[in-house]
Amino acid sequence: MSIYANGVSASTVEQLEKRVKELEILVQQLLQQRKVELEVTESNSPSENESTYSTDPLSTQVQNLSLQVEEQQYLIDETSQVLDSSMKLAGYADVEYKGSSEDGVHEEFRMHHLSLFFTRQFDNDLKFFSEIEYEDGPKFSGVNDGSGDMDESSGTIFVEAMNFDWNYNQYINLRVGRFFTPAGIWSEDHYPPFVATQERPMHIRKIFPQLVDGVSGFGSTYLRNDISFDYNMFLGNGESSVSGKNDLNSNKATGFRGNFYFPVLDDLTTGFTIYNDNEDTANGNADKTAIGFHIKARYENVTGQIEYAKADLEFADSASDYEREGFYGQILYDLDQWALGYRYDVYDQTSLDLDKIKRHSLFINYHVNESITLKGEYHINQYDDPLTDDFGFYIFSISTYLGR
Amino acid sequence: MNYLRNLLLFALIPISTEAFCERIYVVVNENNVQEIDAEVVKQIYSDKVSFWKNGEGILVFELPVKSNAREKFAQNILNKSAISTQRDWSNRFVNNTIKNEVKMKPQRLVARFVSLKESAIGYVSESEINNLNGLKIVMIID
Repeated sequence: MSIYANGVSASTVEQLEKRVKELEILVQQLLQQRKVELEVTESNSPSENESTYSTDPLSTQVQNLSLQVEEQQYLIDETSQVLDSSMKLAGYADVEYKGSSEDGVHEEFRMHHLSLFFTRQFDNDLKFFSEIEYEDGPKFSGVNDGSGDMDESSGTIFVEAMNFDWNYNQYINLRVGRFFTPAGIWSEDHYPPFVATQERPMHIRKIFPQLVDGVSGFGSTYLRNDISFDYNMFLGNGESSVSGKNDLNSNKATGFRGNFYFPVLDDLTTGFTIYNDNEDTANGNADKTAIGFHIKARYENVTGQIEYAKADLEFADSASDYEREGFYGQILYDLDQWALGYRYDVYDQTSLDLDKIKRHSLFINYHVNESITLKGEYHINQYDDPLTDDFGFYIFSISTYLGR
Repeated sequence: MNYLRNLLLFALIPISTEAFCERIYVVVNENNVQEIDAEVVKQIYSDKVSFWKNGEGILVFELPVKSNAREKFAQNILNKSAISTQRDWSNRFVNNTIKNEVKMKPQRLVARFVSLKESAIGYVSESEINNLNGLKIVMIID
């Protein structure tokens, strides 16, 4: 739908659109002519690099006309105030090859993720965002006897995100729907093409929940000397195995994350998260209170990242109370398209048992381009429990971002 | 042994891309009265800031990833490669934390579009600016 601004006649837009059509036809004709010439001269095709323009007059003419077409199209959009409100599609995918020294675990290929993002910008203030994830190559096949029974089912199809944003200004923004819990760094910043390892740090999603079905208010403000502060407060159903429709209790979970950005080094971000669900259905209706701290810093080619989180879970019978705690520290060195890194990771599921795990991870990434990343990673798990044997595992993967 | 030493030395030396000698001009619309320094440009292109101080949303133009001018801009302003900066934009898009969706255009269009939109910012190399009509240079990267 086109909305014309005051004072701009429809005929002006029509004239511009007509001009664009003429230019597009001219470009096509010149491209065709160029193709014929190339076939005759058996010359190489011109470079895609925009800075290396061909000296061939015909090629230059084509390039100039292509730019003119785009320029005219932009002018149409500007004068007619057309907002590109069509739905946009993006996504990512990754495939892994995994192996382990653990007894009974075989090497395997894993069709890990195919995720599709559907987004739409309705106007300057309203946006829709969704992510549908297909995990482990899902297959669901029904018995054709009208019973509704499943013949075969494997993998996961999961609506990981589905939300509406109302962006009023830099201070006041609202999000309603399903979204990743704004907690620490990795909770949101976890997508395989853009993180260093396929394996996430152990405490992620186990102290703060993976998702929130609810509402959040967020924004940012300047404090002083270019120090900015981002805030995000949220209210949701809380964590449970049933989501998307019913809240299993009348209590709502609440949380807040604050992020400070300092204009030192090349990047420095530090912040905290607090979260409470006083009837946490996913953890035996415990009164769960969690806090976390995070810091991420980059100087030249070196990036460091630390997250710590701890949850207190209190029950009607205080003898059952326990704490859950996790920490990781990661360092990454970028060398052109390569990245090398190490992560130390600790997770204690409950303070009542000997179930603390330490993990050392070494990893290497190669960024083929801005969209495709090859990764190799090796992890060693060490257990406090003397009855559990330590073991190592490795993952080789390729992941790609499918958007523009 | 020598082979191993040479291999190690090769691995430790950053593989530099061909130096791009042209100047880069960071430009805004001629009617833009904001105070803009290198830190502001950095914050805009790292998506920390998406509004001008007068409350108007910033329209950010980027160049294609393979552009030499983008590589020079990314190295000088953000101290990282053009590929890294593009990965950052994509990452913010998929994790839905993006504040300002950048528009990627060829240099000649960036100069033209910035001259048309009061809220826009972009950068172009010296040879791509045919004229400065409607533009204000706020920074020069040598």
